[in-house]
Formats: sequence, C-alpha cells, structure tokens
Amino acid sequence: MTERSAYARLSIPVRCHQMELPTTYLGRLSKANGIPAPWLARRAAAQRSRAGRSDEVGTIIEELSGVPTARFMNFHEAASVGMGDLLRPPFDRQRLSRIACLACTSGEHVTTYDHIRFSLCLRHGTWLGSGATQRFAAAEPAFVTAERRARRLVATGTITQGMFESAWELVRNNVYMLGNSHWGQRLEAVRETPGFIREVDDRLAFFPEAVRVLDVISRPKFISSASAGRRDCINRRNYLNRAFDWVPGERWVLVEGIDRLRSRAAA
Amino acid sequence: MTDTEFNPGPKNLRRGFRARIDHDPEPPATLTRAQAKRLSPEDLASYDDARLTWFASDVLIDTPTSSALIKQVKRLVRTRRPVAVGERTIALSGASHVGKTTALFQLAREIEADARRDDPDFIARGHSPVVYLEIPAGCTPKGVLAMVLNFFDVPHSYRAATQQDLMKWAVEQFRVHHTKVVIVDEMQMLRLRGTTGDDTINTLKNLLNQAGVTVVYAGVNLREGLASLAAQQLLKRAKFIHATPYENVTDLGRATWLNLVNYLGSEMLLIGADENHLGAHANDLYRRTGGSIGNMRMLLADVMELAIEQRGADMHEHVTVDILAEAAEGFEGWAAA
Repeated sequence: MTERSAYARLSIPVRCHQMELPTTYLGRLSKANGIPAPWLARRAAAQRSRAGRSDEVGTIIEELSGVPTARFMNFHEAASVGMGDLLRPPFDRQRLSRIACLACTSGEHVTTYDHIRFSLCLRHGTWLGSGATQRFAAAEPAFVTAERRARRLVATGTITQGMFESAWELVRNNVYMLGNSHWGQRLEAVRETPGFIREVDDRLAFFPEAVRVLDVISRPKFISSASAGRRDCINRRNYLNRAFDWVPGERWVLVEGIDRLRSRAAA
Repeated sequence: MTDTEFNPGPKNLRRGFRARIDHDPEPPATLTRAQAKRLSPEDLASYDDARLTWFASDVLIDTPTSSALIKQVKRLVRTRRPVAVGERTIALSGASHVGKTTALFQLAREIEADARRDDPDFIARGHSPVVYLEIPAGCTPKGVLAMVLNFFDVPHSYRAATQQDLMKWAVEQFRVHHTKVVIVDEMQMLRLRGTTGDDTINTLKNLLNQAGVTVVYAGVNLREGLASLAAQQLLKRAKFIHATPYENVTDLGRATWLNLVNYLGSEMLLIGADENHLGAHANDLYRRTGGSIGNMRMLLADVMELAIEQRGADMHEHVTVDILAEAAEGFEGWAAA
C-alpha cells in the first residue's frame, strides 16, 4: 500500500477549545478556511476507513492545522474522569456531548466531550451543566463557590457522573421537605421565570445544594462506612445526620435516600 | 540559511510567495581598501560571495514601470468598496525581460506594507492581501480554479469536483483570506487568439468578477495577442501599463538611464571604486543591453564577478571597458532584440 501524501498546513489558524471534539474542530477549521466542511469530513472518513486507524482524523487535523493528535487524546482522558464507559474512544462519534461556553468561543457553536470536570465557566459565569442550553449565573457567589467545590471533588477521582446525577435527583425530588417553604419558594420563583426550562434552570438554582450533597457522599469516611454494608449502619446514619446539618428541613429524607442508593449499589 | 531561504517553494504557492515577499536582506557593508586588506582570505571570499549574491538577487530597482504600476494599483485599492459592482483591472504588458514580474513583486510588497499598517498581525491571522497566480501552459477552466486553491494549499479533488464547486471554493478563498489584489502573471499562456482559450478566459473573468478584487494581468505583449471576443472583453476594460525598455533618445531618457547605471554601480559595492564609477560606461551598457533591465542586471552581475576576480594586491576593484566586453560576450543579440 502506498503512503498517502500529507496535507499542507491551512493558512487561517483556528484555536482549539478545551475538551473540543476532533470532528467539530475539523468542521470549524474547514469553515474558517473556506472549505466545505462536509467534503473534508467525508474525505477524512474515507481515509480513516482505508487506513483502518481510528486516529486518522487526528492525523489529518494535525497536518492541516498543526494541532497535535495528542491534544484530543488528552481532552478525552480529562473528560473520561468519572464518566465510566459513557465516552467512546477519542476519535469515534460520541453519543453524548456538551457545548463549550459561548462566551469563551465568541458565540461559536463548539461541541465538546461530555464530562463532569466543570459545570460553570468561571471566567464568564456561564452555566454549562445542562447540555446545550446555557445560562448566565455569575451574579450568585454561591454558584462560584459550589463550582470550585465540585471541581475539587472531581479532581479526587472518587466522583462519578452517576453520583452527580443522584445528588441532583435527591435534592430535586425532595426540595419541599428538605428546605421547608424557603427552598420551595425558590423553586417556584425559578419556574415562574419567563423561558424556564426544566432540568436547566432548576438544576442551576439548586446546584450549590446538589454539590454539598455530593461532597458528603464522596468523603472517605462515608465511602469506607458504605462499603462496610449493614454492619456500620448506625454509624453511617449518624454521620450523614451530622453532615447534613446545613439542611433546614427534614434531613432524614436525604439520609434515607442515600442509604437506599448505597444498598442499591451494593446489590 | 534556513530551509525556507534555501528552498522557498514555487512563487505561485502561498508559502513560496510569502517567502519572496518577506525576503528583505541587509546589504553587505561597504569596505575600504584598507579594511579589505585586513580580512583573511576566507573572510574575503565570504564577503565577495555576499556582495555577488546581494547584487544578483537582492537589489531592488524602482523602474518607471514599477512606479506607475504601484501608483495605479494602490489608487484602485484605496478607492474600492467591497460592495461596488464592476471589476477594476490593470494590464501590465511588455516584451520579455523588461522587469514585469519584478515590478509585480514590488507591487505585492507595497500592498502588504499597507495591509500591515492596517493590521500588523494580518499574517498570523492567515490573511493574504495579495495573491499571485501564474498561468501554466495549456491551462483549462478547471485548471484556473485549481490554481487558486493550490495557492492557498486548500485540499481539493480536481478531477471529481465540478467546475461550479471549484469556482465556489475559489471565490470563498478570496473572501476568507481578505484578498485585495490578485496578480495573474504569464497571461500570454491563455491563448489569447482562437476559441480554445475562451472558456478558460471566461472562467478567469467570472472568478475574479465574483471575488470583487482588484486584478492585475501581466504578460508578454497582451494587446497584440488579443483576437478572441473573450480575451478582448477581459482586457479591454483594463488600464494598460506598458513595460518598455529604457530609452536613450531624449534627454530625459538618457538622464534616467544614467541614474539607473550609477545606482546599480553603487549597489555593486566594489572595493575602492569611485562614486558613479559606472556612469562612464552608460552608453556602452545601453548599446549592449538595449535598455532592458533584466539584461542589464545579468550583464552587471557578470561584470562584477570579473571585476572581483581581476582585483590586484592593492584591493582596487574597477570596471573597465575590457571587463565589460568580456562579460558581454554571448549577449550581443540583446540590443538587436
């Protein structure tokens, strides 16, 4: 088999954004350089099929733009933290994806690997934690604090995407009991906001609380107690009761919910 | 010497073109005879090489043709609005070896200098204010379009793509690269006579109309080559600039020629040579070169080499009638041409 000739470097450089998918980058690169994106994508796919290597797209990108193949692999590795098998290999078509902060990309639609590394763009205060819909959230310092805490938790490597979801569901399903009337009113106010989108605006509104729940269940003390099974039940529940002292309402709902999750995970 | 300097690539590709545009060497220092005597044989040989390279390749000459071309094109670029309809073209026509391509590169440098003034980072942004296309022999309509894409290193499937697709891509290239001026050199290759070249000429016209850029056509004796309707349409609306050899008939012509000779004499950087040392040979040089700037440079490069070779122990380098005659051997047909 003869080696294919390398592409020459395109003249207009395009910045590669954090966690960006290679296919999206190739599309943006084509567009900036006046090349029809579908044509180049088809060509890349054909070459990938001929070469039989999944990273052929990365090689083409490297030749055309100078962005090394390794960068996308690094993005994929960073995005994989806590994602289990939700992500496919770096150069494959992904089932799940996210949109990069529109303020960071100057309004350009940049698709990234799905990840739990961050939910809020700290530079622009953009809420990114709900798929394609973004919200401006910088006004509340509580969000920034929660975001920093969530990033620290993810960095420990003990948090998974499932835990993120569970923490949010626990808060969402029990808002009225956990927070008495105060949390309920907050939820009502959010729901009455024009343009309210379920699972976006409510998730943002209770992001700090969800992160605090996540914080509790990711502590080493809880994890070791959880793995002890029923033997350590009393201690665990006591620990959770103490850890949820910031909850103004019925904190036992959370304790029960977490215990149920633990036993389901153990089963 | 960097790789780019060693092999900048073809001038009708973006990288090669840029390497030539950005090439701005410093002239070697002018040494006195005493300074030259103090140099070691190796250093003296390097100095000689540097001077010869400088004179043969790097000396820029402002000819009346290049000045007129730059003035006209800059005027068109300055007054052009992107939304304006109707192409604005200039045709640079003349015999071969009268400095047309050199003038075109000087024009490109000037346009780029203006672009740098407006946006100092335009190269980093990938903009190409000037595009240089060189028509190859036997160029087809798709070939013209592929030439534009090749200039920008854009991958394309020349055979598989339709002419309309290539046209769309090529026009898009001018837009994304903020191109202001397109230089089309070697236009005589387009077969300005007969019908076979008409499709290609019409494609070129269509492309440049759609691109909304200022176009400079250049080639050998373009007006004389016009015969087909397509070629006439293309070039009739162009403002013609004729690149002609220097003349030696009028007083003004003789003075201009003498100035040029003296300028080139000073750029030879001969050791111990007087100021205006070449002026004495002005008439002889005109007779031998026919006023062609290309011939003049080639001849003087040989003259310079001989003058350096025949340098004595006193380090005095000078151009003599004998050196001139020896260098001009084999070039005698120029004046007649």
